[in-house]
Amino acid sequence: MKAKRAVVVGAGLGGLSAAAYLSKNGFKVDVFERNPHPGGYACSFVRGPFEFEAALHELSGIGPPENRGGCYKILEGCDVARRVEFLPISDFYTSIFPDFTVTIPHGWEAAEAAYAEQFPAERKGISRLLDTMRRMSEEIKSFADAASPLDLVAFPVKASHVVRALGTTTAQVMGREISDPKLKALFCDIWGYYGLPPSRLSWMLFALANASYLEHGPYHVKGTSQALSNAFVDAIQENGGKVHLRNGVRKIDVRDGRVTGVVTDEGETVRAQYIVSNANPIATCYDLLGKENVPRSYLKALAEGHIAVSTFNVYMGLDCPGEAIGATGHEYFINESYDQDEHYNAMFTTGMQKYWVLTNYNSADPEFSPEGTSVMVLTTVLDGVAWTELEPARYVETKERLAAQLIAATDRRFGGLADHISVVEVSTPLTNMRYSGNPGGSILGFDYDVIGSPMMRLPNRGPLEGLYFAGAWVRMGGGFETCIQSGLLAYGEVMKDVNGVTGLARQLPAFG
Amino acid sequence: MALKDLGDSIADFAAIGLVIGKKVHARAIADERDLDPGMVQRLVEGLHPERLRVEVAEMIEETPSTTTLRLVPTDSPLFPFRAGQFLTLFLTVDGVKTSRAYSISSAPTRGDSVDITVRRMPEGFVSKYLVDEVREGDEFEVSGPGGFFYHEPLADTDDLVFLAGGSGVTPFMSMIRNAIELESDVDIHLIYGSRTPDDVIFWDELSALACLQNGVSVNLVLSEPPENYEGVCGLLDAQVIGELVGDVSGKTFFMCGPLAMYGLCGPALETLGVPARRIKKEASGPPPDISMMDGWPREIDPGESFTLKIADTRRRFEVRAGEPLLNSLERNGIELDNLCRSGECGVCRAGLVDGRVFMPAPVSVRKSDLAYGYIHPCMSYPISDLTLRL
Repeated sequence: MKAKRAVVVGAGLGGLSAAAYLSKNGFKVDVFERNPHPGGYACSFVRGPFEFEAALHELSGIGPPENRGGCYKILEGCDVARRVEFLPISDFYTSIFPDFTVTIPHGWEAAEAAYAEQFPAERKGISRLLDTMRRMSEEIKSFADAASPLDLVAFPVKASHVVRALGTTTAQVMGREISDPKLKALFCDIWGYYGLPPSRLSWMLFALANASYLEHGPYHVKGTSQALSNAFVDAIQENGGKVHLRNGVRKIDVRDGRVTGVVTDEGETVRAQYIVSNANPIATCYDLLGKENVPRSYLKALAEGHIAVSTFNVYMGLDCPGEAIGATGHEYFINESYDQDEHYNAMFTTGMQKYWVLTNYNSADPEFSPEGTSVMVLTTVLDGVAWTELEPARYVETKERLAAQLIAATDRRFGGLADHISVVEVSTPLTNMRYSGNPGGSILGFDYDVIGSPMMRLPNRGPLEGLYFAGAWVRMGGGFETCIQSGLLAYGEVMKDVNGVTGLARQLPAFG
Repeated sequence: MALKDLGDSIADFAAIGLVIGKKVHARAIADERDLDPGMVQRLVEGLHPERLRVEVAEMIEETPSTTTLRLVPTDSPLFPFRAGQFLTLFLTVDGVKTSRAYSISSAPTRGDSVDITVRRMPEGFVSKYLVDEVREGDEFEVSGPGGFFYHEPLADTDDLVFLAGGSGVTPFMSMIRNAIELESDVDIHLIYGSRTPDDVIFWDELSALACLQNGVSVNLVLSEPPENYEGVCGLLDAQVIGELVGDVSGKTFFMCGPLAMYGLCGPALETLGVPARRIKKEASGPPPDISMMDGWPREIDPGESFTLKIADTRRRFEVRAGEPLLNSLERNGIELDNLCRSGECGVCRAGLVDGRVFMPAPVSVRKSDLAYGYIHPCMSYPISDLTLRL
């Protein structure tokens, strides 16, 4: 039998995950990627004696062998998990506020105890909040195991916590259970991962993502996330697929309302019945398909979505171990105040930020950098627009100024940091744009607001026959675990078409 | 389907969408806002063009063997860069499409053109062509700016010592000119090692600058001085550097020059007690003789030939152990994107399917790339028959 041909546009995690499933299941797959290395944001780079993790802070959905999470199982299902060594991170996060510092461990009970120890008067509310999150997560899991359409019908009853979460913000739900603004700030201090402050952030997303961390613990990847991306490529190649690097796609051919193949940067035309685009849907529609080939309703949906935050990173190689500056944990959120809306508003400028994170990579992996040294990264999420409006000539001084301010402010909490920097590199939203092609340098695709929460995002089925999407912009959304999931979802949509599924079932999300 | 088990946290979100998806969809279809196609591309190209067409506006003879090429973009503005960075020049010499990285010698402040300063090397395939054959009005393609050899106030002190060897002075010219243009607060001490006075580039400008009391001082160190020469003589070793610099504390050292100079300066700075983080070394391209490098397998003669196969094609040809794979590929008409040609940037990253190569330190290959057999062919030398996946 002739193999079915599939082309994947872009080797980000979504594209790699789709390609891994397609190649494992008999498709002849070609992945085309502009960059010389695979992974999209899931990559590393080398400066002098240091190798830096570009993007990964804490990987969710892995879990220890006795309690594997969903992400691990997806990686296992496409032969990737066994190629990767996952390293547990000791705690969930440490929060540094103006007048207290608290470390939140993972594990439901341990986390609850840590919150309650700092805010004993609110013990009951904390407990109810965590309980709701845990139940939501369990309801979702039992739904995933649903065997018959009857379960689907029963969903609103059985999954009452999930249903009640629909359309609510994190601040709304939190406000029902706890009242101290300082506790609220601590409870949501990880919001930067999700790109919106609690007042606008989807509670569904916050609750389920945090539940994944609390239930399975956060992980890092031995050898950085580049090792994960390389493992995907290895698995794809082993299954007969090809990953073409330094050769992107410049055009997707369309005929009679369906895609027929792609034209690569090298000018070659590759025919394929199934095309999974891991490029963002805006570039896919406007730059690759041509907007005249895309239904107007789809273009409108694209225009309506709000583009999520980007990042600013200061990557530092230190000539001392983390202990020397008081950093022993992995993830430190640093807050200049308790007002997270104020922190968010500062992100629309190129000026100093009020909320950022110090990540200490040697904590999970002592071999992360040469002996006696350490790698630390300061990350702040911020909006890309102000950076795109900069005069090119002012770009370097603007990024250097913000980096210097962040280093100085971090040095006030981790004394000696500034004096131990031996190698430094700075990335901005423009850097993200350069390597990902994402508008605004978004790290999450569209915002995770109440209408952009995972299930509200654009579907994995594209606007034309034969076209599918994987990556942050579509279901399940931005983030490592979610992008890996999106590849499997895109594969599921392809399989529906291969199997000739028609009617309403075709419109239902894959694996529902 | 077996995949169902994997759905743990997937089906969930997706199906919940059904419950109220219809409503949200209706909301999403509002007026089509103007999305600007190609916007990301244009912004990125302005800062980091992949290729830029330039014309040689002027050829300036610096010494009998050294020429500055003034390059002006023909159809787009010049990219911003940091003093000390390089650009890569793409050209065809004797029918071979190749490229070379050159430090920019002009200051970023000039804005509309960049200079590269090239010394004709006796065996230089490209440098000979650039110095002897190129004429004003010729056009080339160049890359955007690359490299990390610049003053980085986030990590470096403001008291800088530049150790230059031969044409390694070019990035320092950019940094010195920039510091003066911007009236910056940094102190710069250039120690410029050269063989004879005839080999010295930019000397008139450097001596003039050093007289201005503007934080820039220069020392020339000649290894083959003429008779009765009264200046400093010798090589850039611990004694010479120590005498000229004095107290090394609080100073950041920059080195750019031939490998032989690094072999001398590196240990010299260590002897003088300069901490590693206060030393910055510009990446150097392929050494004149790879078999002299640490770790080269002694049983292999650099003149030896091996067979290179290109995976997924029928191409196979002989390559020389003593030549970087990238150069061999180019000689055989195979183009492979590249930038630094020093093993540093990773743009030419390729998969070594089988066979062995020698990569001299410090080629910057990611740990997981090494684990999966990826190499940087610009600084990889074949030491067995091999297969490469490009």
